[in-house]
Amino acid sequence: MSEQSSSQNPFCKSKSGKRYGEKAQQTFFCFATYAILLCACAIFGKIIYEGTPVLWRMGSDFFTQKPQTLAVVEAAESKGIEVPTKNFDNILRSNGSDTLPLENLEEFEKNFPYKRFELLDGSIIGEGYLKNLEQQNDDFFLIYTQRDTESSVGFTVEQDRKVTLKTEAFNQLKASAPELITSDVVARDITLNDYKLTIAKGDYLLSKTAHDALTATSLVFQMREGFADDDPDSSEKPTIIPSTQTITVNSGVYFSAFDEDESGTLPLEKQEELPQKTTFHDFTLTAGTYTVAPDALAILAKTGVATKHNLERGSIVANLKKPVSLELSAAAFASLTAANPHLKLGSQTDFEKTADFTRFTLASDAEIRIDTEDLEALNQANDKSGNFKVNSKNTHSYSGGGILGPIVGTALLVIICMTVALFTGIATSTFLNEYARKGTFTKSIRLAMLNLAGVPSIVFGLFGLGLFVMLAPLLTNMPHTESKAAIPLVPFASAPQLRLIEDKEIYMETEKRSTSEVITAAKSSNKKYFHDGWTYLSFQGWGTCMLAGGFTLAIMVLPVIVTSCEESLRAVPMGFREASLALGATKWQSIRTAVLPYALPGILTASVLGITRVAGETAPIMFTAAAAERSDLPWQAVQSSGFGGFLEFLQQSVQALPYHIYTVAGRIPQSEYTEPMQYGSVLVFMLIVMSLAAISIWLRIHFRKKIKW
Amino acid sequence: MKEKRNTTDNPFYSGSGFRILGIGRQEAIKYFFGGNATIAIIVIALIIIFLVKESATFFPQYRDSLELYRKSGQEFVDFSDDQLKVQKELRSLSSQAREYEIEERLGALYRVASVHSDFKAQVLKLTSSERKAYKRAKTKLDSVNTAENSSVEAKTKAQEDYNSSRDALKSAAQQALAKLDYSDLSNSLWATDEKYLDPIRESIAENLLTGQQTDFLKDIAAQEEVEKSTVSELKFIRDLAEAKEHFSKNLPAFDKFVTSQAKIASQNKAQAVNFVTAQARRDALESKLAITSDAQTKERTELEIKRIIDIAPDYATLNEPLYQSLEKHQELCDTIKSSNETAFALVPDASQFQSKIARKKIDAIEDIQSSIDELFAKKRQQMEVWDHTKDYPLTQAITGFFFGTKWITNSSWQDIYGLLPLLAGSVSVAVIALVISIPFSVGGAIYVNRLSSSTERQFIKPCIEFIGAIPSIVLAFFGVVVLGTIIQEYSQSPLLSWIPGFPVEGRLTILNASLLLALMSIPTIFTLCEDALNNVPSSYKEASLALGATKVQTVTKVILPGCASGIIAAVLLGFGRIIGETMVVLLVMGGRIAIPKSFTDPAHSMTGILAQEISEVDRGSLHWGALFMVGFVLFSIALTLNYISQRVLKRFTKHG
Repeated sequence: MSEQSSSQNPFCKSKSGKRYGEKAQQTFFCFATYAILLCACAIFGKIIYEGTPVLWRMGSDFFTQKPQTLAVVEAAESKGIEVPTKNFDNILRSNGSDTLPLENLEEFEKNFPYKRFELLDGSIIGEGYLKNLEQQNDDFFLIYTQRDTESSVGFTVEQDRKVTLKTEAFNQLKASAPELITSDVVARDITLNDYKLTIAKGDYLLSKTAHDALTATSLVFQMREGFADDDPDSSEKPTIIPSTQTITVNSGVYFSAFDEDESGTLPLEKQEELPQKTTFHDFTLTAGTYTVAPDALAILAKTGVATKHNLERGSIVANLKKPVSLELSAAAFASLTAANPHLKLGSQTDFEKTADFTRFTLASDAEIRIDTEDLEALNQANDKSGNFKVNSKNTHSYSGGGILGPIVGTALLVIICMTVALFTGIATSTFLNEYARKGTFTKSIRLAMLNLAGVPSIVFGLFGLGLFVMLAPLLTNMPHTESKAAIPLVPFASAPQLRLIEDKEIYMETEKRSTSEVITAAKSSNKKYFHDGWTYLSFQGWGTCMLAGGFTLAIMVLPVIVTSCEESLRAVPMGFREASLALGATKWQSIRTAVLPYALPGILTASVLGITRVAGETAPIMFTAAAAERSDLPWQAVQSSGFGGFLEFLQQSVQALPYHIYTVAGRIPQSEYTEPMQYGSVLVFMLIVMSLAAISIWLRIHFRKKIKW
Repeated sequence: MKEKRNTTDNPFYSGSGFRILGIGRQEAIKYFFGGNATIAIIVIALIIIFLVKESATFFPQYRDSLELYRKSGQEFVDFSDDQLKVQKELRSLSSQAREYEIEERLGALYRVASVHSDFKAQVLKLTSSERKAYKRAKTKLDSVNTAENSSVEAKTKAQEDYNSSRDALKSAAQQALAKLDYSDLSNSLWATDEKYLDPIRESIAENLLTGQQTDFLKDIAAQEEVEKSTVSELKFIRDLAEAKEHFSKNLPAFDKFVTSQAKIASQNKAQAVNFVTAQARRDALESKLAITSDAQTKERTELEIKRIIDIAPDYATLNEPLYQSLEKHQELCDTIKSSNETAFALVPDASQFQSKIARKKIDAIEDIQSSIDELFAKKRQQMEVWDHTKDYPLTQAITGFFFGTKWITNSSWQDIYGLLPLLAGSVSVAVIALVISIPFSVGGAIYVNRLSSSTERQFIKPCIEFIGAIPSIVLAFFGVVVLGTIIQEYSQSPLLSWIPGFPVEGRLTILNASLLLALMSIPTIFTLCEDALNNVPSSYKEASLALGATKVQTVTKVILPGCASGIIAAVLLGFGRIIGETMVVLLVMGGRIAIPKSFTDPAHSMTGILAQEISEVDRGSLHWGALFMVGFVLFSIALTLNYISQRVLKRFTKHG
């Protein structure tokens, strides 16, 4: 066509040079278009080319394992290594099955003696032992409400040990548990001086040791500058003694603060020695298992007797509605019963746990890539035989395992975000398209939408951090002490259980004081939360959690959703509404039955488009929701049940796929060992997002073609 | 009005009678939707409020911090520190220029040693098990031979083992070596002359077995030594070396002077900070005292309150040594100035150098030469008029933030927040990206909209939309892992050396980031341009064609001017999108906080600094305020761009 118009046109002075120019222009335009597509293809190609082998090798494990630290181990001694078959398969996969030089593969079964027992209500158990039980039994989590400081506790002394005690402690121990002191007791006297000192007013220099010693005394001194905690060899700092004072100190303080031969720098006006006599008692504690009162054990624990009891807070009283069935290896069970004499146990059964193991020989000096969990299992299984020894070990964070956590996290974020965004988005677009008349109000809404669309995503992140993470209101019975505003609403609230109080460091108010006083008290006792029997509306934010991240993303994606929803609403012919209204339906009825159903395909497209945007964003979730490392899935950390549990679930931080990529690509040192994880997760992420994008584009084209009113 | 009639006059309608506060059900639904619609307004308002609220306290706080900086004498010390930095820069530039020139003149020879060690490392890794077997056999043999009572059989056995393991190692090493090529180098820039490849292989094999330095390496080292000495004997290289000597002659003394002063100033600062924060500590303790009833705690708290300092530091006495040092400083400056004069006279002309990087360094020295006297005089002048009692006005803190060229945080000396390097990074990367992307996106839009066939159009348009959906983190990853290396390698090619800034020194640069950002902005600009082209009335095209213009003429002469404002709006929106982009600039731009001098330098950006630092900052601190201020600037830029593009678009639709 163009050829003709230029050549046959009598008005056109056709110059061949010009035609070349024109050709060149046209070629340029064509080239520009295809160059874009080529660039994109190159990027996709590279990622697919590098990522597919990783996915191929890892198979479904890449999606069912959580990210871990990858260890690169060079084994030394390697005959007859035993490892659970499960872990063995995993090791094979991380290395690519044919690259490991393995010999003498042999599968066998291994038995471990175990004990199954029932724990009954009212058992008294030491804190450390309870933690151990909980670790071994996944479903068991005891929310205790009571501690016991009276009942006796048990402990085991492996071999005879010498114990030295001062008179006071010795007498106490003797009164409480005379059966411990079976051997001869040797008493020796040592005389140490106390000092009565007078320090003159003035400006001096003070060393750090002297400062630390003086802090405990009643001397008033004013430091002109403080000592940094992390700086061990800081020089002497100027200090002021505001008035002449006389204090009495013990010898320890005297030598570190005043003795000129050591580090003392403060000059003394007057000094006086006050001799003090101290008696020490030595005796031998014979090996064996003992049951004593907690205070006796507390005295012994200070001299180095090992125990897992928490002697300050006391033992835990199990409040179980019904007996719980627990499992523990036989050895652990023995030590549990030895240490906890007041344990109430129901039926006990011995049984053996059988596990599939693989024994193999590794060509010596082979380099293995191994996830930390597998390495732990490997070390544990060969602990006794000592067959597996490691020459060298390098670790690469986040580069092992799979990407289960990030995928789950991204999915959760997307779900929360789309729930919020679709709800408000559809409501907004319905209002704009169906209800509102043209005016300043709709104009300003549209203007705000337009501007919202132009706000950089990192600013949404800042906003989410400021609003959702740090300020959003929360209905709670234990507000944070740093809460922006804690408004007491109802004067009764369930008190948190003892375990929660201890775990979360809650300050429990016992007197009736005003909120601000309670907060000061809580702060000065270094507690993070407080509870005083009121239910508060606390503006303390939701913390870094999926709820905050989801809301931030929802606000970011709102303009996209509103624009496309509105477009689809506008596409519904006016006649539908008119017909419906003419039939007598109310406005809402006609919107509900005659407009929204026909706009549904458009809304679907909008939501897929929204998901595409949201799933790909990193900046807004970086400081509102994402955690670089998380060892469990969000719901596994939830401890309460019912609605409270759901809220707790929403307040979990999550790993997210884009943030995970950021971590592995930008925040850890790069090496050949980190590459598989990088390419694997990028490929998966890209496939997810790009297929969503493809769906949304296809949906739009499809509906546009199909629906013609 | 219409609704009212609907509900009341309609005989078919059975009213539910649902009414609260005079609001019926229909109205309630309407208000509910309306309420949702206001969310956009509320959010925009909240964003502004937050940014303003968090950054509002920044300037007064920053002023206070800078006032302490002045009072404690740190400002005074920084004047001479600036002088010291320039002098150090001169020293390092002159020695770098010399190094690069020698490297360039030595050419292939220079890189042999690095290739050798790189290959060796790779071979060592590949043959690790054979190597260990060999080592074991060797120790065994040695022990058998040294032991007195070992039998002959044992000796022969050990010898055999040793031989076989040596052969195994040798063949493994040779196999590994045969596969190695210059393309396997961990840094492909080391690739050297082909003639060295075989000798290197042989030498490594020999080295592996003997563990001693091979003749080849010795030979190369000797050759290198000879070459080096001939090169160093060249007059201008000698001159340069001498110049460097003169540059660094007085540095140790000056360095010592500055360090001793810095020590005084930081002690002053510690006292000042301690005094300034005393009040807050006292308040906290007093409020604690008010609520404690426990006698012992009360006593302890009272003692702690008494221990808090209440005598202000005497800044005049504290700063006295600094004022005293002016004389010594003058002396040092004079000696440095005279030695610098000799040095500058010795610095050879840039044209004598073969290495491009060396020439750059010499140019940099000359730049400094032209400004150093002025800088020294200016700093000296500032030191002379410096007075620790002078107030620090708020305006100075504000201009210091917007025009400051330093962004220093978490420093034990003094935090300085200057926006300029970040702004420069953000703007330069966006502008370069835009320059790259405009021809492609506008050209593509023209092609798709006016010149292509309809099947092509149906294929290309979704594809470009598809590109728009690539997550930025994926592009960032590509930039870090792939594109950086590609750019670095290809920029070494002599064909491209005419481009300023080439060859590129690092992987993570503005250029790398802007290429990715260009790709990212293409879909935005493309789509908007296409819309603009679509909106040009078809009568324009028809008239132009009827007048005898060709298709391309019509596009370039009629259609494009007709939708120019639409295209401008598209470009502005694209610019807005690029400047607000975070992940690519965070990961790919290199993260060096300094005003970039060329487009191949690394830089940092406003979005990048936010993403990187905000999670590590205490809420409400000075640093936090500074970051929110950056966020506020970013937000304003984005909104302004948005506003301008809307205005342009509006004018266009009116007249179009």
